[in-house]
Amino acid sequence: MRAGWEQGASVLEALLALFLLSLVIQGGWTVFVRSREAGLKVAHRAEALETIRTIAWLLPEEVSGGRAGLDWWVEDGDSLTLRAFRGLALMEGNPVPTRVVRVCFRGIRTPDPEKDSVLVLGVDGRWRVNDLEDRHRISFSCPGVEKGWEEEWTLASASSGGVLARLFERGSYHLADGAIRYRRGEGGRQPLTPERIQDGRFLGPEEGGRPFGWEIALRRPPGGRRASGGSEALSWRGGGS
Amino acid sequence: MMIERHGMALPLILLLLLALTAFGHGALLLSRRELQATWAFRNLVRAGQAAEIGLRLALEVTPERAEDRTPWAAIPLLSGETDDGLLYGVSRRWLDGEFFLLEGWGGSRGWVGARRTGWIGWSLFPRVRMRAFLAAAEVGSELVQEDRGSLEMGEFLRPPEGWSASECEAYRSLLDSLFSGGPPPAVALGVGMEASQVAPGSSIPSLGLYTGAELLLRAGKRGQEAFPASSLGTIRGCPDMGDPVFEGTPGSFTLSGGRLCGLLVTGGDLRIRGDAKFQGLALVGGNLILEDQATFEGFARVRRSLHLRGKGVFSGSACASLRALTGVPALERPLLIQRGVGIDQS
Repeated sequence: MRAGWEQGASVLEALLALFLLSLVIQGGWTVFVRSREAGLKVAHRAEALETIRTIAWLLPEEVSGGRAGLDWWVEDGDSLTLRAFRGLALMEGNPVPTRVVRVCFRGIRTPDPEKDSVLVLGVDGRWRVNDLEDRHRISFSCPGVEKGWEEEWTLASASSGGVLARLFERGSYHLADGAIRYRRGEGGRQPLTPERIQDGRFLGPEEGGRPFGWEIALRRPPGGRRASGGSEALSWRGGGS
Repeated sequence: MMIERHGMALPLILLLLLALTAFGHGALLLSRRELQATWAFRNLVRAGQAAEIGLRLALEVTPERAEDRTPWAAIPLLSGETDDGLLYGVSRRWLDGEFFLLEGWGGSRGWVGARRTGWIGWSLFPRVRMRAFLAAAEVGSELVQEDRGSLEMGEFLRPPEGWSASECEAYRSLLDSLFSGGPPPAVALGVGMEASQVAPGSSIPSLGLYTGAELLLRAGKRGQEAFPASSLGTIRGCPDMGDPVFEGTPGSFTLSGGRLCGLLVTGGDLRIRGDAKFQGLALVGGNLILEDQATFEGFARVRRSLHLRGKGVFSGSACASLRALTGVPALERPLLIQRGVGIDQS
C-alpha cells in the first residue's frame, strides 16, 4: 500500500531531505555572500572613482584660473587655500577714482557682499583686491553680452581704470577624515566625496606640483587583496595648471 | 487519505533567486551609472581641451584695428573641429582699447554639453601708448647737456628729416587728436620706472605691459649676446615707405653712423655718435648718449640719464615714434595675461 510505504521510510527520507536542504542552504548562502561582496566591491569602486573624478576635475578647475602663491597655495600638504572664483564682471570705464562701479556680471551664482570680494584688473595690468560692500541688480541683461546682467557694485575702496573684475570667495579644500572637504570662509568643512581616502596630500609648485598636483591612496574594498602584498591602498595622482 | 506535504526547498530557492536578482540588478544599475559618469567626465575633459585648442589658435589671430575695437561686443574669431571630433569656437570681446577677453567654448561630437572658458589678453594700442608718455624723453635720473648738445621740440608734429611729407599723413588725424593741447614737454626727469615696469632681471623700461624681457623676446634676442655689429648695417628701416625695424639687445649698443629707424631696445647704454641718426622709439635700460653730430628723432624712455654732448641733438618727434609703434608686426601679437577665467554658468 502506498500510504504504508511512505510512513515506513520517513526517517531515511527526513535525513536525506535534511542533507539536501543543508547543501542547498550552504550553496545558496555562499552564492549570496559572494554576490553581496561583489556588490559591495562594485559600490566601493564606484565611490572610489567618484572620489577620483571629483578631485581630478574640481581642484585643477579651481586653481587653473588663479596664480600660484597669490590666488592659491598649499598648506601643510593637506589643505589648499584659495580664492574660489565664482564670476566675471566687465567694468564700465571710470577714469576718476570711485567706489561705485557699474558692471556686466556673469557667474555661477549671484554676488553676495557678505562673503565675496573682487579682484580688479587695472589698465596697468595689475590685479588689485577690493571688498564688495554692496550690490544691486540694475537690469536683467547686458547689451551684447549673453547671459550677463548689469549690476552696480559698491567697493570698499575707490579705484579707477578697472577693466574687468573677478568675483571670489575665500575657501579651502582639505584632505581630512577620509574625504575631500570644502570650507567656505570660516565655515565648517563640508564633505564633497565619500570617505574613501586613506591618505593623501596636495602638491604646490615647491613640491613639484607643476604648479598643482595631488596624490591620494584609496582604501581597498572589503576583502580586497593585493597579489604582491604590501600596502592595502590604491594610489592615484594627478595635477593641473 | 491524501497527506499534504510542505516543502521548503522551493521557497528557499525562490527567495535566494530574488535576493540574487536584486543584487545583480543593483550592481548592473551601478555599473551603468558609473559608465555614464565616466563618459560624461571624459566628454567634459575633451570639451575643456577643445576650448583650449580654440583659445590657443585665437591668440595667434591678429587683433582688430583700433576702430573695430568696440567695447564688450563679441567678435567671432574662429570655429572648427578636429579629426577626433573635438568642436571649438572662440570670440573676442574688447574690454578697453588694449585689454580683451577671449571666450572659448568646446564640445565633443555626440555630446550635447559644452565647456566655456576665457583668457584675458592684451594688445598694444599705439594711440594709448603714445598718450602714456609724459614727455618726448622720459628720463629716470638726469639730463646732462655738454658743449652744444641740444633738446628740441620744434618739429614735433612734422616729418623727421629725410622723410617725405606724405610719410606722416596717415597719422595726421591721430596726432592732432592726441596733441590737440600742444606737444608734451621735451623731457621729464626723475620718472620713476615702477617695479611693474621693469621685468625681473632686466633694466629695460616697459612699453605698456610689454616688459623689457618680453620686448627682447619679440625682437628675437633671447640670450645675453650683444648685437652682431653687422646685423644692423648702416641704414635700416623707415623712409620711403619702408617698414620700421625692431632691434633689441640685453647689453649696450653703439650706433656710429648711418641711420636706424624703428624701435630700439637696449638693456645697457645706447650711444649714438658721429653723424648717425636714429628715428623712432628707444627704450634704454642705461644711459642715452648723443655725441658728435648724432641726431635722435622720436621718443625715448631712459632708465638712467640723457647725455647730450658735442652737437648731439634730441628732437622730439611724434610721427617717428608713432610709426615705430604701428609698423612693427612683432608688437601686434597679443600678450596673454590670464588663463582660465570662468565664464560659464551652465
